[in-house]
Amino acid sequence: MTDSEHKRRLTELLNEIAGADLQIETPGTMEERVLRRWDAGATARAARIRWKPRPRGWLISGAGALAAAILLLVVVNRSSREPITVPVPVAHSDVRAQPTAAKAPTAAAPFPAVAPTPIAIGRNEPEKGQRRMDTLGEIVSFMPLSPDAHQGLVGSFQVARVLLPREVLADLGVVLDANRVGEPIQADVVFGEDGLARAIRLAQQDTGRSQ
Amino acid sequence: MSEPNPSGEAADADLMERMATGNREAFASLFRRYHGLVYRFSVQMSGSRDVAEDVTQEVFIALAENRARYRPERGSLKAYLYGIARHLVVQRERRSWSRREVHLDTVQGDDAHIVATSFDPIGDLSRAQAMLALRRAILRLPRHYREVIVLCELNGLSYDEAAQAIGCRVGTIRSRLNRARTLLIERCRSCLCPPRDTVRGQVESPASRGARILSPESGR
Repeated sequence: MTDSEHKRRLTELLNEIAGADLQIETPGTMEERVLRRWDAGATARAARIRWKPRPRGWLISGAGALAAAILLLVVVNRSSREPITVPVPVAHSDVRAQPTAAKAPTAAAPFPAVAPTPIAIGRNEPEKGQRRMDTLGEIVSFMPLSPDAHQGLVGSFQVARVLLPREVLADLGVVLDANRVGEPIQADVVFGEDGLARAIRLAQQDTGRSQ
Repeated sequence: MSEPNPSGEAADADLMERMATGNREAFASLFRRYHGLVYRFSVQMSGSRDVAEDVTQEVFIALAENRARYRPERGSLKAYLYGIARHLVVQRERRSWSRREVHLDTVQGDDAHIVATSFDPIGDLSRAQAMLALRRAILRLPRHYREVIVLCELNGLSYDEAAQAIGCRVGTIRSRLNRARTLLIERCRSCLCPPRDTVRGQVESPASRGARILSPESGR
């Protein structure tokens, strides 16, 4: 058989199938069932003011993603503008005005001792954060560990919570409690992009007592 | 209000309007007018009368509940109903794993009926066998080819109406139909031979097994 004969035969058979399928009949009870469902839904339809399209899934997802993105932007923007303003337990305000040169770190004092001038930790606007800290007076945040701490924190930085020997506080200008010498103390240390410690903040102790 | 058909029946748009106001009789008229083609289409697409029954009910319930979705300017109500039915059949196909087995059993039963009503037993048995093979081949076609065969070849829809029902261009219908016919010829080449090519021989249990014609050369 040639292709055209095959096509002709296929058409014949399809026509025969179509003719045979005309005899397919719907079950007799279907109309009754469908009308019963119509009746059941009539009350609900009458109460409906007008047809309302269902919200599409992708529209909801898109709106949710957009809202989340906006929220994230707001949070990030806010956190980049506001300095970290956790009060430091002790800071001498008179020392703040007279910065001294950094001392070389020792085994007992791993951080170079500098004047504990409070600085604001901000990602993009250190000047603004500094200005705000100035207005806050005694409320201080991180204390710089080197005179150029501001420059070291211009880019990204990391904050790590560490346990330090309590003697380190003396190098920061904090008065030590003689009864508690030897106890470790929790502190948050800011590391610059170069991995060097730039600033420190004394964390609130678990015991509820300050250093 | 639309003019009634020459036969005196109300137009689809008129019935749809009345149905939108909650007229039960209008809905019943639409059901009586179109349930047959929806059911037939569903049987041809799925191969299962059970599936077709469910689909037909769901089509008309969907029509009643979402009647505002129907836009007469986009196409005929018939094409719209075919579109809903097609969508529901596809949904069921995706859920079903044993679709093919159910279909073939149903199809075989239909052809047994044709075999029994013949004056030319051998010729009709051969034709019944060919139709059975063709039905199976149609059910095994990929869905987008199967639906154009069912719509255009088995239900006589125009390319425009099929395009409205499927939601694609007329050119797509043409190309799919052409490809579907080619696939059917490839897969049913042997059964497309005319009855004279088959050698007459013994017929084995014609009523039960779809009238398998045996050739003497096969030795069975």
